[in-house]
Amino acid sequence: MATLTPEEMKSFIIETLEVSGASYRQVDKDLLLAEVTVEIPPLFFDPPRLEKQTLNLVFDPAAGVSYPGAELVIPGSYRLNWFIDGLRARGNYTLQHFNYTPTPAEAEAAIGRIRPELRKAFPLPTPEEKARPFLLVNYVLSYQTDELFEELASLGVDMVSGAVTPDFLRALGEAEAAPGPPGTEVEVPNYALEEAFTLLRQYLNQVVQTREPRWIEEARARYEEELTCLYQYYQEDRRDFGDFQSRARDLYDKFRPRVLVRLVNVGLLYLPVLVYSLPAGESGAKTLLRYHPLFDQVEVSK
Amino acid sequence: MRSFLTTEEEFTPRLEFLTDPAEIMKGIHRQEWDSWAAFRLRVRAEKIALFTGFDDELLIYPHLHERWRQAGLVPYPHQEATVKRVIGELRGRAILADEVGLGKTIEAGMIIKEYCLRGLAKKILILTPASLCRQWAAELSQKFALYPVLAKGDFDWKRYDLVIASLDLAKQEKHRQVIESLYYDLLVVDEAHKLKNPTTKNWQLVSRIRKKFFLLLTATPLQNDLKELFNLISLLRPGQLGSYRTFRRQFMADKRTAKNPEELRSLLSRVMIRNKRGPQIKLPPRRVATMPLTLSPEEKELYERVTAFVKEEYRKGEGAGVNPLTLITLQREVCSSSFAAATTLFHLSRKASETEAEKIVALMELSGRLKENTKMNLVEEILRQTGEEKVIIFTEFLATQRYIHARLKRKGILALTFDGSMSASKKDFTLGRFRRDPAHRVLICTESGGEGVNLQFCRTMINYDLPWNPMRLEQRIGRIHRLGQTREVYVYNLVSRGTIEEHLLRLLMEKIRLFEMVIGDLQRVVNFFAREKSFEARVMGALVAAEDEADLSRNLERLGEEVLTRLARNEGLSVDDLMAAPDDLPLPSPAEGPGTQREAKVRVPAPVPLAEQDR
Repeated sequence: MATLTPEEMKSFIIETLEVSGASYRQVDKDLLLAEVTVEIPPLFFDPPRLEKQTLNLVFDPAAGVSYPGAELVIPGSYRLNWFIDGLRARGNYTLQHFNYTPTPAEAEAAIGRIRPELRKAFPLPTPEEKARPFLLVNYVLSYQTDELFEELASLGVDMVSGAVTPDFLRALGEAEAAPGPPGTEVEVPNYALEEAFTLLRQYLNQVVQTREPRWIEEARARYEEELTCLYQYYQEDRRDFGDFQSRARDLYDKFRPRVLVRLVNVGLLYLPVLVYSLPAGESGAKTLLRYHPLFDQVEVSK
Repeated sequence: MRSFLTTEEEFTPRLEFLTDPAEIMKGIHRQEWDSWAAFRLRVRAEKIALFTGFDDELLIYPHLHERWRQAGLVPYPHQEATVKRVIGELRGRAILADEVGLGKTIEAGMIIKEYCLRGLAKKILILTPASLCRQWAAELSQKFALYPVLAKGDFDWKRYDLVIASLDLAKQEKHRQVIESLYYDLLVVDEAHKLKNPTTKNWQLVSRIRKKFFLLLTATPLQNDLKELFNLISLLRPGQLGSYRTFRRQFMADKRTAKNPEELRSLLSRVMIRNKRGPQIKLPPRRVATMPLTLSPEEKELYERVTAFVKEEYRKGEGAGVNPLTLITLQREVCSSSFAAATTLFHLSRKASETEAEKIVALMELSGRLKENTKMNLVEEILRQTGEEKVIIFTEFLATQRYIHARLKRKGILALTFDGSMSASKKDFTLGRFRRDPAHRVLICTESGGEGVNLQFCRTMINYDLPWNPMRLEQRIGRIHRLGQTREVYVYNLVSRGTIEEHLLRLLMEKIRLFEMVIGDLQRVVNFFAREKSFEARVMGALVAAEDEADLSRNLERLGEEVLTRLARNEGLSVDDLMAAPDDLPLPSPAEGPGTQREAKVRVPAPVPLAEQDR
């Protein structure tokens, strides 16, 4: 589990309570009172039911002594896992659009900064405000051998270009989202959702294959050591060869490298894009300039 | 990487997608949209739950801090070090071989909990002797907030994740097949010294269970010979000591003597952790007092006539009408109480020939005339002087237990009985009542009932009769003199003057304890007597060969000398010799000196300054 300070833990719980609509009160810096609805499982002849409960929560082991009976919320605790499990029923899918806020002059300045060679085309004509569809998928990747470590992959697929952007959620930063599709025109996607998921699989496969291989090499070395050790036990008794094989299979199963990919949630996002139609040059072809303000990116196409 | 054992393909990572894309599409088409805040929070929750590897800090400490504070439980440094080493260096595969009473169960509980908190273990199986199943369940729930299911009857092994089962149940054919088909994240086997023979069903079952992490718990990983140690280690990690042939060639001078001890020690230390009492791990002092008493003339007569009968029958050898083991039992019973002897005499009289039956019936009648035993006067006096203290009385025999119980009841002292025939739930109930109910301050326990039970909330023990093997005496005392005991422990050994008990106690207390005091190695003594299955027969031999008491004293003296010589020669082997470097041997703790009969008068502290007198 990730290491969090008591303050970080408290902020997570408060945000969870807010999202779930539960009321809470911070009694002091240590103690948080929360009123939550819990499901009471069926008991004998009583059907399951919902019940309001007040939780007394503390986040610092040292504070637990001052509040006997309060629950300590720390990594691994029942109550933290309870909140996390509860959250797994929420936030699975989202449909959001993001609005464009900078002025045309600010946009032009940004384009000039990113692609100085485009300054010659300034002043730019009034852009068309459009929205580009993105598929955001968050995955947990579990790297398993006889050891385990996990990481979160947040990938965004540009449904028009097919490009995959890693760490997508973080790239969005604190941009303001609004629910539902945008009011502006949406660019026509070139990829269906199924195709976007295929792109993500290919991307993840590439990520795993090009990852620093130490975790595999070390597991392989440990496996070979175990296998050699096992062989030493069986080497002089051929009658047990079947037994040896079955144990060796179990060993391989324990050490072989696997990457389990678990989907966390999926978002359909519409990100603003400013499309500038530049006048035709000597070649006679019109140039389209697209500026993505959230990522500070510029695309130029004929 | 160059390798001859594996191919690149075998170690090319494969991606396994756990979520069906069709399900994702369904969710999207159903438009189950949630807010942006909920979406982001969900990701944050998953980030918190990620397993990011081990650091040096154990999660159990903050997690169980409050529970342990309320329970007054403070893990000892050696326990924390053990947990860290098992999880880190030994990768969750180890033999926990601490000496008796140093908290192996706590260490195992900490390891289980740590793996659970880290999300590395979910399906866990704990195999123990049947008598310890409930104790394990109670320890895990009270100290670690783990709530295991006890397997019994037609158990659904697939359904439950944390299961405690007895080895006897698990090895039954119908259960074994299911268990072997499952994959356990963690397997724990308690009392693992019962797994030293690879031809047994126990060993084969444990060997075949598929598991990721594996703990074996035993205080005596090595008792009889090195082959048993080989089998135990090979169960944990086959090949750690090579094949048996290689092991024999490299490490066995003979079956009890190791060669290349340095190399063997190094191999063992990679799979076994053994904590011992010593300067780092100290228990409160143990005060042992011998309480001699003089039998009443009727008791004396019974003792002498039964002893004469036993000697006579024993000397007949194969021609005797009574099994020698029964004779040893009868001799031990008559030392315990007239009631215990009467039971065996009754059974003997029904099988004996006419002439012998007459003698036996006469002895029975004599024992029947004894309505009270003098030992009980002394018990009552100890109880009177110990005030409100909880007291455990140990006896080897059920008939004696019943008598003690009835006698205390007549005196208005409420006592509870505890024996091996009780169901697990009744045992639990009895121990709980003894612990919590101030009205019941005495627990009368038989040998088999007390096995593996933790009674460290109590500090006073009366040995109503003495086992003829010091290992069993040590096991009795280990029930209260163990980690978690915070007060001085008082042990009272009741001994009838002029009986074999008196001479035997001198042998146990003076000679053998002397060895322990000088060498400081109680485990070696315990191991020695665990091996010496014939020790009781040797004692019996000394009794039978004696014409009078002086003779008996001399015979037992000789036996003691022989034991001492063999112990001092370090005949046989001890796991400690293999596990510790020579200068690592623990020093004898001055607080834990031996109690001898001579010392008893001055060393038994208040509140029990019992005068040595007959009652």
